[in-house]
Amino acid sequence: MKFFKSKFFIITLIVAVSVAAVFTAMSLLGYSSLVKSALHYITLPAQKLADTVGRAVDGYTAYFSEVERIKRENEELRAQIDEMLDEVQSAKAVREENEELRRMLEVKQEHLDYKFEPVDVIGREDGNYMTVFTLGKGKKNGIERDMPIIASNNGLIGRITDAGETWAKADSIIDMGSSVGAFVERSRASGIVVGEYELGLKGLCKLSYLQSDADIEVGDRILTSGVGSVYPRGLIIGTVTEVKYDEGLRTKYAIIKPYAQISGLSSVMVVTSFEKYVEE
Amino acid sequence: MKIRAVNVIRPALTAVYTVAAVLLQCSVFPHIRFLGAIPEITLCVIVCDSCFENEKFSCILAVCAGFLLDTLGGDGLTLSPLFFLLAAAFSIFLSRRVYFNKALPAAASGLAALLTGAAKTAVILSLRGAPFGSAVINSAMPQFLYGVIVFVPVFLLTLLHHRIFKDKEREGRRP
Repeated sequence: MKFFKSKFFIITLIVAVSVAAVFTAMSLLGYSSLVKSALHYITLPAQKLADTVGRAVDGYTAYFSEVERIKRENEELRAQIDEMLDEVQSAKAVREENEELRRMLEVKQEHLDYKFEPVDVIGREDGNYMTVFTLGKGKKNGIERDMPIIASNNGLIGRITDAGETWAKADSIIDMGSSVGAFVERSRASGIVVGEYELGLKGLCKLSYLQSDADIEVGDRILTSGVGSVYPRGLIIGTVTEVKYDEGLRTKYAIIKPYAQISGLSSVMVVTSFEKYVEE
Repeated sequence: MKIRAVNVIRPALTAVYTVAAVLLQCSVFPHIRFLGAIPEITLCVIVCDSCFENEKFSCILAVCAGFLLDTLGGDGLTLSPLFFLLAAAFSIFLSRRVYFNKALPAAASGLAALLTGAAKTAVILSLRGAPFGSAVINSAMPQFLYGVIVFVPVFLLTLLHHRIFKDKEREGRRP
């Protein structure tokens, strides 16, 4: 207890009180003291160093405190990206649909006597022997059995095999049992396009019953002849990829690659009405 | 009177630590806030040193550190010299007169000083117009808690520092 009664402690206490009073009063009155300025000047390098350390620590701690915010932001951005990807996807689908409709319009303008019914392909059954498309429209929309179906590029796909009120089934020209009267666009040589099992597996069909001297070459376009009244005349069936000679029948035949992209169809056009071809 | 090297080095180092604590409190800890508060690390150093250091030196160091702190990082008021002197005196009283040079008084006086420091903050804030309750919850309590967290390593380092130099002094006294 002696120490607290000693002159030293009392003087120190008085000094502390005086310093507190004087400097507080000076600060409150707006006077900047010389001593404070000097102290600032002396400690400036150390302060700068400490501040640099502080900023480094701040950057380090900020990294951790920012992690949560960055995580949230990342999730938000991911959600935005997903949303934008959806939009891009739907825009792509709309563009493709638009493109298809435009092509359909071109086909319509090309064949003014045709009446079309655009239909979505709502199902596709890939069997061992044939491919059957299920279409989203039926008799209600005027679709009947044996009506031809074409793709938006004017290529023949096949025909309706069965029709309900709101649905229809169709097969394609590459299926076994299919036969379409056809001719070579360049030379007018005629024949019948038929589907064969092995060719069908490769997405091809066959132009048979050509004369042995028929003028046909690889690359020739094959069109529907209109004979039989099932198909209108002039629809593109495909292009010749190979020409062969059948020794038994003594006829030529050709392998045809269909013009319409039969696999992966999303919509087709059913030709509900057309002017029948009358052979002269 | 013969002056031993250890008698100069130890207080000199203590002074250096104290200045470093002031700089830490003014420049580094504002970047590492806890619930918006800055710890009173200088007060912790002063209290811990007062338990082990020479009484007169402790009092002078407390006044100087308080003045330096208020000059470098103060808010205009220069109350720290008086506050630090009283904290150091309380620490000296506990450690030398009541608990007889044990480590416990350092902890007790440190906590008391930190609590008083937090109370001082609350009073100053309320004098400046802040609601007292809000000042206690939002500023004084975080400051006290952060002070307690910082006090533990400061106390251990001070203890280590004084043990090292005390041992050397004893070795010097051997014939």
